[in-house]
Amino acid sequence: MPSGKHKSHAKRKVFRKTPGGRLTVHHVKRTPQPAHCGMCGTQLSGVPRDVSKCTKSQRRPERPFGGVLCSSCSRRVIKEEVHSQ
Amino acid sequence: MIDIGRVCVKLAGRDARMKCVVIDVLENNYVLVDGQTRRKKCNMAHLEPLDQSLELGKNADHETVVAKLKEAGIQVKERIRKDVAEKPKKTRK
Repeated sequence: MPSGKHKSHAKRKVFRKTPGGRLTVHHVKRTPQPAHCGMCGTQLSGVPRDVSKCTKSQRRPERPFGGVLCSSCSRRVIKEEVHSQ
Repeated sequence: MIDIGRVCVKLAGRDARMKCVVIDVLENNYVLVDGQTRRKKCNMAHLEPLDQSLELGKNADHETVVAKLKEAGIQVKERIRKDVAEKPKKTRK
């Protein structure tokens, strides 16, 4: 029987065949979905799929709106900020 | 337009949203900027020019740029440079 820690929706079952010919189950952690831009919805670059083990600077690009907006949307927002003043 | 002395806002890079002054115009749409940003060359497409224009000579040094920006009302943070100690060199015995 699988141990309690494997009975989680964050894990999925992968059936693998051993060299001895038997079928076993591997409980594999699910990977998160890639990050998307908050305004236009395109996939963001510079943000890895799994940030849980990354250092702070590895999680997002080092610029304003890094990890939140894509580069084109952030430039548009900054331009609007400049014109509104 | 973007000429020597024009105050701009950077749109891209780590210095985005910071104000800078154009110090020199290079070829292929590149300019040299300094101010609140690092002193580096930048593509004109990544700059948004403001209405302000300062009187600056070509390739003015950082202190002159900071003084002129202060007159125009733009504060520049002081750059504190730490003295990095030399790494100990490993010698093969």
